[in-house]
Amino acid sequence: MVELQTTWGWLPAIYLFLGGLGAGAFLTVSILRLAKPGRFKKTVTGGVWTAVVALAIGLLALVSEVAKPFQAMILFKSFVNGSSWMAVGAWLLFATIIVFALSALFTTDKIADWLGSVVKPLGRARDGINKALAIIGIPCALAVAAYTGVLLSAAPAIPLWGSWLLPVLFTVSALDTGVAAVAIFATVLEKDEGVHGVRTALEWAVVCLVVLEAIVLAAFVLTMQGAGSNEAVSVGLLTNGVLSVQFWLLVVVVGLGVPLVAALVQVVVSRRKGGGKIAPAVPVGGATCALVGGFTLRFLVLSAGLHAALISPAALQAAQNMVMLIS
Amino acid sequence: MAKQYGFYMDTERCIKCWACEVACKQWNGIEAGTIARRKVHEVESGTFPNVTRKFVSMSCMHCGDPACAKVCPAGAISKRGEDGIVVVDKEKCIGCRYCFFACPFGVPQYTDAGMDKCDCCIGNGVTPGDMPHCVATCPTQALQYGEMGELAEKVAGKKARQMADSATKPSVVVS
Repeated sequence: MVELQTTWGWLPAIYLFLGGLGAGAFLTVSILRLAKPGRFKKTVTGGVWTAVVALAIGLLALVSEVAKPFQAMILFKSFVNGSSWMAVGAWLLFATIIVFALSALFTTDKIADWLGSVVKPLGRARDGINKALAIIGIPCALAVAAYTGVLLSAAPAIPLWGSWLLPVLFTVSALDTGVAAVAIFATVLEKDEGVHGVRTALEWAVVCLVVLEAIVLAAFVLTMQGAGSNEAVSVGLLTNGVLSVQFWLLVVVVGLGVPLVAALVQVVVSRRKGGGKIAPAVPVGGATCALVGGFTLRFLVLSAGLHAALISPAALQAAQNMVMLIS
Repeated sequence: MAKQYGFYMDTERCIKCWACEVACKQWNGIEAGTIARRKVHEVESGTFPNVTRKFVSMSCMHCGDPACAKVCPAGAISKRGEDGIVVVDKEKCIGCRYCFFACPFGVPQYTDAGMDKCDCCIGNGVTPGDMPHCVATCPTQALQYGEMGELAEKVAGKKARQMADSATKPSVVVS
């Protein structure tokens, strides 16, 4: 019986998910905002606030996982250790949450109007500020999405995490969940008459991202199976071990299969002549399933991240090899 | 090259009495039932009826290129230039446990104060370079301590190997 990784519990998994979700949502609405300036207010506002709240809760989860949260603020005193990805990531997250928060403030009409009335130039420059924040925010969001995977893949003693495919997988999944969150707003809240086109575009994005994510996930699993015995043991937990039900059911079927089917149904229906109507339950259900799958993926990758020294105690193994060499 | 102190483990001499583990806990004031900086492992080899077992006492390897120090976001782990001992500044440690994911031997352990591992007893008053208490206690001199060059001379006639890990260069010799 192999024990699961428990050094990091479920709080980092929440961060990995929410950080990716926030980044993906911000990216999606920023593209929407740059493509169609001044339109789809409700979708853009909802998406930006989702990004801020998700990232903020994710950061709280991350900080509460460490034993000394207040001491953790030392990361912001200076660049204490440039070779540590966690130190780099702390600064990245700090900068990104500021960009996201500013963007949310300037996107919300009431707050932006009030700011404009207090400081006149801010009111006049609002559109420009929003555009600038969207442009600065896109690379930040991409970096935050990738960093969730880099954080894990930079830990050399965990065989399962030691692949550049992990940041790629988490980035694609982040975009996928972000698009899903924005699609919910576009379906439920949006009143703009052009929303139909946006929803179709989002569904096409879902189709592409789900297919891409499935390919990357398959590549990740196959790479790990062929990488060595330690990697194979870890990934075996997902494919046919104690986590296999969650993996196949929640990540593959619920997280990839259902959103793909839901998106395809909508694309097909919207192409029918006369613009077929579809119940909001289909897009919202598909998006919710994508979110469930995204969270489960983070949780499972974290749980299956067995330490090399625990699978085959490295110290012991090294000693054993030596004992054999010398005797 | 800068000085590098390390351990020499002579498996021919170890009788698995755990004196090193106990001395380590006593001198470093480690609470009972919590962590252990040093552990005695048993290595079995062969198949019946030709089974042998050897004992190996292991702690932090004070690696030449410590992976733990590289990933620490708080800069709390450092390698001393004068003697190569890898030390933790518990005041700085934030308790993120990232170093556990980096160390190939799973050495870092955690208490409320922060990450805890062997510091060759310099934290409890032993002069750097002098014998740590585990070594001083060992009744059979199975566990020895010294500058890596000296240790290499000591094992020159024996079939000894430095602990192998290509990435981190552990400062431990086993024979």
